[in-house]
Amino acid sequence: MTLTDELLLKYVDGLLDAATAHAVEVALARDEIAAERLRLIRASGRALRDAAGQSLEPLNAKAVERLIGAPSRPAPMNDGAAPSLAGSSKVARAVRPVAARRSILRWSGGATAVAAGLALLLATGAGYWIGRGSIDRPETRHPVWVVRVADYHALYGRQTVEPVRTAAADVAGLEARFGQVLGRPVKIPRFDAAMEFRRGQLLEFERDAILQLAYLPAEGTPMALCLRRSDAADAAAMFELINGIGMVRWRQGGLDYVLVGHQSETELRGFAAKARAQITGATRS
Amino acid sequence: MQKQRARDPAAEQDRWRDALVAVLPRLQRFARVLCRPPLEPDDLLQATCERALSRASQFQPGTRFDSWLFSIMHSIWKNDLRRRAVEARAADTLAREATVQDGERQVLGKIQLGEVLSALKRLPEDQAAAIMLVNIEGLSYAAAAAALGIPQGTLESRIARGRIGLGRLLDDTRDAARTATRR
Repeated sequence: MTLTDELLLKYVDGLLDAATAHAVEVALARDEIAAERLRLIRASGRALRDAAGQSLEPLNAKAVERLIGAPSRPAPMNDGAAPSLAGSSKVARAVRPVAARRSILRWSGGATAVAAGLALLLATGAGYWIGRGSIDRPETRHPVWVVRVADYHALYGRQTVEPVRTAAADVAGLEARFGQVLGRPVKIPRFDAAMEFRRGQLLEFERDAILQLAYLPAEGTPMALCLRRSDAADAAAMFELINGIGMVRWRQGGLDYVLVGHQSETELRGFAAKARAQITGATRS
Repeated sequence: MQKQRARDPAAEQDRWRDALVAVLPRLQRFARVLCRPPLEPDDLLQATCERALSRASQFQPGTRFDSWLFSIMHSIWKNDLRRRAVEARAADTLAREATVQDGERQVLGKIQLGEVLSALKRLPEDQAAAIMLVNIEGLSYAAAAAALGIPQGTLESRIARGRIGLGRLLDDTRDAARTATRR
């Protein structure tokens, strides 16, 4: 087996099937140079994760105004002074002209471009859709593993889950086994027949185990609940859209939970609430 | 939906503006990694905002807004700014180039780029851009490849090579820090 850089990256990211991953490990044991490349990929991965986790300071108001103008309806000001608005049309009122600054691209007309863009925006309703999309949520960036979960789930159809079934009698055994792997007590939430638990399987992301519990609804596409070990404090549930797929994320009892599916926000929030209640109940008992 | 738009267009505009403001810090971080002397990250950021606003109607409903903005920024960097920078380098004197680099160092110091972002700036630009979008900004491989206008296989190659290069650079940085501490 030739250990290319791309193959090593997939190995580190946990994107290889078990047989290929094993073959990589065997080859690595005999190839010191490749093992060193693997070490570097892992080391950079850790550093990038740390860097990605650092919060960013928002730009100050002055910088924002210089870049894209002021809001159409500014927040109340303590001194009671209303800012002067440039122009008289609705569009011109919406965003004040960008402050005088050299425009580095000749195609840009500065404030004119801004006004024209917003006029088109209104005409097409793009603003509405942006607001309905992935960006009017409390968090605008997502951990890489969560994005991977969304991408993975995007490939799920009914036929992915329909042929598999887990007997009710086997669930306790699965919970014990998955709990051992994750190092935390695992409760597999059960919903009614309209969203039936079908399968639990272990995935890997950068050598961390991710438990994926797949559910099949009476109609429509599957839903999945993914669990990953975390040492951070509990966190409340929040809804997000990633690449058009809805997910509710929360942290509970040392596990990150991601409920993902094409169901509506209301439905996903409802299932998440039920799951949380069952997990809480199982932890207390 | 239609009624909501018709009722309060100003709210729509503000929502769009707020969405852009929310992504600005990430765009700024991406610009800082993309831009090498004599390009200035703030210029790239401003150009991106102007183009995004002027082409707002081209945003595809249901797609990721941040991916769209990163794509715009990368396109401007690749097609406009980088070409101009090459032309400028050819025309400028060595003395002028030295002055610009001093300016860049001042910018770096002022914005306090972290160790990782500093190392990313030393990678080839294509590799740094790919790593930024996938490993820092959390885009999927497919979304990042689309934003950069390259096939996914090319993106994976750039990330793989870049991650190895980044690992070496971080090793070097830490070795240098250890040596300095011993002295």
